[in-house]
Amino acid sequence: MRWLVLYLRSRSVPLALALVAGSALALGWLVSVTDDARVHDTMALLAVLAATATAAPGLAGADHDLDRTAAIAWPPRRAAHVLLAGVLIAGTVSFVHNGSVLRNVAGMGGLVALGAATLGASSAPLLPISWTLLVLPFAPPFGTPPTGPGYQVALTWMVQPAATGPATGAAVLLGAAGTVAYAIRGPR
Amino acid sequence: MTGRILRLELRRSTAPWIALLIVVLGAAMIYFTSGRHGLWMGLATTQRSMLALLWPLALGAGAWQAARERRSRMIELIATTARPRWRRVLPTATALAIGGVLGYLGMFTAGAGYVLPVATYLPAGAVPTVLIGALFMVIGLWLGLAIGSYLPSALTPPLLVVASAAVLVFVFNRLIHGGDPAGSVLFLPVLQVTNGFLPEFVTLSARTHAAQVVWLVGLAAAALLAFAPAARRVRILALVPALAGAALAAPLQPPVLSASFTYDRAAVALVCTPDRPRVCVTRAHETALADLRDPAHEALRIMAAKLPDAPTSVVEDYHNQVTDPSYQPPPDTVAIRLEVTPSGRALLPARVILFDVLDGAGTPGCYVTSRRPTEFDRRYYSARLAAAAWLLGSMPDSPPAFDLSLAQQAFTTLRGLPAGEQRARVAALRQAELACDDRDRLDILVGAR
Repeated sequence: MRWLVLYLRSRSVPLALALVAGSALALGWLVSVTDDARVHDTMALLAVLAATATAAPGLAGADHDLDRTAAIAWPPRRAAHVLLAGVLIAGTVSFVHNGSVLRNVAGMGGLVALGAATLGASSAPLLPISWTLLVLPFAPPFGTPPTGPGYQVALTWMVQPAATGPATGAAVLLGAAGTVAYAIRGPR
Repeated sequence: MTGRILRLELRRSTAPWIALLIVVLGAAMIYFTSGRHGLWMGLATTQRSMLALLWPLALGAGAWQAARERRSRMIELIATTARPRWRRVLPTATALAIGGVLGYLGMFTAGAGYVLPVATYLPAGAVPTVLIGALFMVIGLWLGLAIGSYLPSALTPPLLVVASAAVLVFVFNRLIHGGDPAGSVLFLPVLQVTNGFLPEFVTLSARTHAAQVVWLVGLAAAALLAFAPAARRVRILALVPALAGAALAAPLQPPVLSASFTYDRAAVALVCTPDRPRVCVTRAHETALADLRDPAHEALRIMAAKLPDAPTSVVEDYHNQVTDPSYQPPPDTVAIRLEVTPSGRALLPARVILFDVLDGAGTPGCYVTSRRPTEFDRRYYSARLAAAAWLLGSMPDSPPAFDLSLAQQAFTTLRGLPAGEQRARVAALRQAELACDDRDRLDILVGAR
């Protein structure tokens, strides 16, 4: 228990939790002042993006080499960190608005974990953010998501409506790949 | 000495990364979305509307750059140097600005890859549009530097990006669903050719450019004043140029967004065929002249054979259907709308263009259809289509937007009348359309005498 408390404090998890709650509140306010219902899903996507970006710096400690010398099994702990962060974010955001939140959290969380394993924890959000910005022209109010060939649906998975096959598959794949990569390699 | 520092910063700071990111993401946005219409001016305005998504990235990159000393744990070491803060950070800000401008111009160059082979007319108005967009990018980077120097946490860049993207999504939603928004929306990096205008025919007015330049220069001075001085008290002065810029720009802003667009006189100038009868298109659609020529000549030939005082030329109508729908050409000219593909050729096949020219016996319509056609509209457009079918000798085979049964009925009834009566009826329809009176057109065509 003491280990857990120290771990959470060293990874600044309380601040991240407060920011996740704050982004959910901001989403609630934005949803209430926007009357176009299709834009709500885009705003929920941005809220999930903000929440996973706040979780990103906590994926690495202050000194990665020092952490690696510890005689404990890091992979299951790192995997548990990512999974619990995802569950918390999904729970908080779906409290406010439920539009394929679980799929977005799985995909974004996986991307952030992948970014932490490849780019480092503080620049990890670059991956989901640039992919989302690239795909935003297909989200309302800018445009409509493609319903066309499967690869197009998979590439724009985050702006597709709920229960779209290739989109959910892409998100699950990214979530699994990111978690496994981060658990095995750790942050860069 | 400063040149060497600047070159070092250009290589080692975030500048090359933000330039690369803008070029790659921006070019992907232009090519993969449907924003490929409108030739050079369309590219410039599409790039400005994509700025709504790239500007947050500039904010984040600036914030990332501002936290550089904290990330490499050199704050105390740098604090011991003798150079004042503003001399230390100005090369960094300059390097970021150069990176942002090069990235934005590189995005335009990448997008020009599809415009260059097909464009025939280079508008002068595209240059200030692109340059002001580049200025917006620089402002985004410097504002990011200023915000990042106040909140040097690792969480600032991503949260800044997402928060500003959310705000711009919210504003953009109001922009396109609220009809014609107020001109003050031009303070933000969003731009949309609205209210019925086509990008290839318009240019931004000089007043609009001046208003945006004044606002952006004030904002740039504010960002630098908030970031460069060492003393916190001096940084409060940053509010002064920001407020001055807003106050000076506000009276220059157009009252509504669509008032900032004016017709580009050189783009709507007519380009005509050398031989008679005259067929003309606008300069911006010059490539489509070859597609318009043959159906227009055939239509004019048919009308000269079957109608008294038939029209003798066909021109393209570029007028905005929302703001000035009542444009009437002279009676001897047929004005039609010509839709073009992104590569400049006519969108519709020759037979559909033929029907367009013959519609209403060679007259422009007097009424604009509403969303749900009323009974009057149905009769009106059926009469015009029946007249075109009579001139051509058959009904169109591709179904238009409304039900063809009424037009088919009128066409069959008209053909049942004596030959001289048929000509007189169609000529009477043409006269009624030219005068734009409010008699029922189907009655003129097939009703009782």
